[in-house]
Amino acid sequence: MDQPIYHLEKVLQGKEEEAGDFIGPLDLILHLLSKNKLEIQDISISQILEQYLEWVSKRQELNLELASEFIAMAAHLMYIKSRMLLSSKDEEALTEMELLIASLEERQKQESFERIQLGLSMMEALYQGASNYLETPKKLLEDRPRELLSQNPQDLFSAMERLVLRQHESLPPSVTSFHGLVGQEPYPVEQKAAELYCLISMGGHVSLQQLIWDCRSRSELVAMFLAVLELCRSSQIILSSHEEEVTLSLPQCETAALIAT
Amino acid sequence: MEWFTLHAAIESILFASGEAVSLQQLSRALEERPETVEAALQELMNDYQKTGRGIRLIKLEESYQMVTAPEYATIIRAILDERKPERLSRSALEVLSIVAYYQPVTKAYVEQLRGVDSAYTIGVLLDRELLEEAGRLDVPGRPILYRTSKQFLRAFGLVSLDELPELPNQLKLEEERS
Repeated sequence: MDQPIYHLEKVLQGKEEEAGDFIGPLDLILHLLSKNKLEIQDISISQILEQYLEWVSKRQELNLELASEFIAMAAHLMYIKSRMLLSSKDEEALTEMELLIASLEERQKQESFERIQLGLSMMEALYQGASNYLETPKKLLEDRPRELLSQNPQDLFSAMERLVLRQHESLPPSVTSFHGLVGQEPYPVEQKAAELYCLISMGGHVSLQQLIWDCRSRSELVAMFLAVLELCRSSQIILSSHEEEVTLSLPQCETAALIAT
Repeated sequence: MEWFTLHAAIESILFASGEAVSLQQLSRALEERPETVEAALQELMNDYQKTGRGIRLIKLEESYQMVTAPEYATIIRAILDERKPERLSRSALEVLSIVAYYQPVTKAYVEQLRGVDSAYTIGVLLDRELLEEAGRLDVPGRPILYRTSKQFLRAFGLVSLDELPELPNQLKLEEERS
């Protein structure tokens, strides 16, 4: 009756070495080291041997089975201790210690890796979880800090003003500058053209020289000339020459139409 | 500075920065004591969380960063046409865990634990800025020591290395074995 409670109490104290098994003697030694907060390099054979034997005897007290390896390790540790007692510089003992330390370190690394392996899925979960916190994408190049401009809207206006002033200098002259010339022809070209057309349609054809003689002033001459060109352009008259004489006449069909009437 | 204005100022700084800003920087810029700024940051953090806003504040050791709320990650990715970041390969996770729990470590130590050559994986992790160099070990050869970076904390949603969950202990190991 008592023994089970005794067992439970030990478990409740949280000392798992009493309740659980160790895979091998090396694990036990590693555990004892960590309990005493020792590094593998610092182990003193006496301390370890003492605690090891303590553990072994406790297990035997509880009538639990003990693997032979544990007993073998106990023996090995005692062997090392005894040789060191005989001579602290005993070479064989020292080498044995070194071997022990080496195998402990090896075992420790193995154990560490196994623990890491177990933790992998948890790390994976953390990674996946955190990947949903998105941040502003990082700029690839170092940006110079963007400066916010501070300009006055008035500046825009002033700039436009200057622009307009410059433009004024190269604008074509306004109509008013030509006031003296434009719109005051003594012989408007259209009028002359109309006169000319009437003249030609009455006579059938007119000689250019005659027309020129009839002009009383230079303005009239210019107007008449322009009128001839206009009429030609609009195909209302035809120019023909015969031995230095230029004649204006109407196009054929029209002459016929006129003769008919 | 008015309490409310302080909140608003912190918000605008973190938004404009995009990256993590240290408490020190904030405190200097705002001309307030770090404790005051920290308290305001904590309030903002809780506020965003409780009122279900689209943004969150995360803490990375002594720095703070504005990020999006995880619930909306899918829709954000759809609009910004960003692909989900690739899963870390098993090797990468192994190496990263080893460095995380035993830092600072040398490449040789990592290789001893894993039993395989780890140069390539360490290189990849350095590129992704999850690992960084941390000096050299004072032994013949002077090998480089590695540790995890702040980016590592960010990628795993940790505030600091203290928050790394404990590795399963020996008892669990035996349960796995049997």
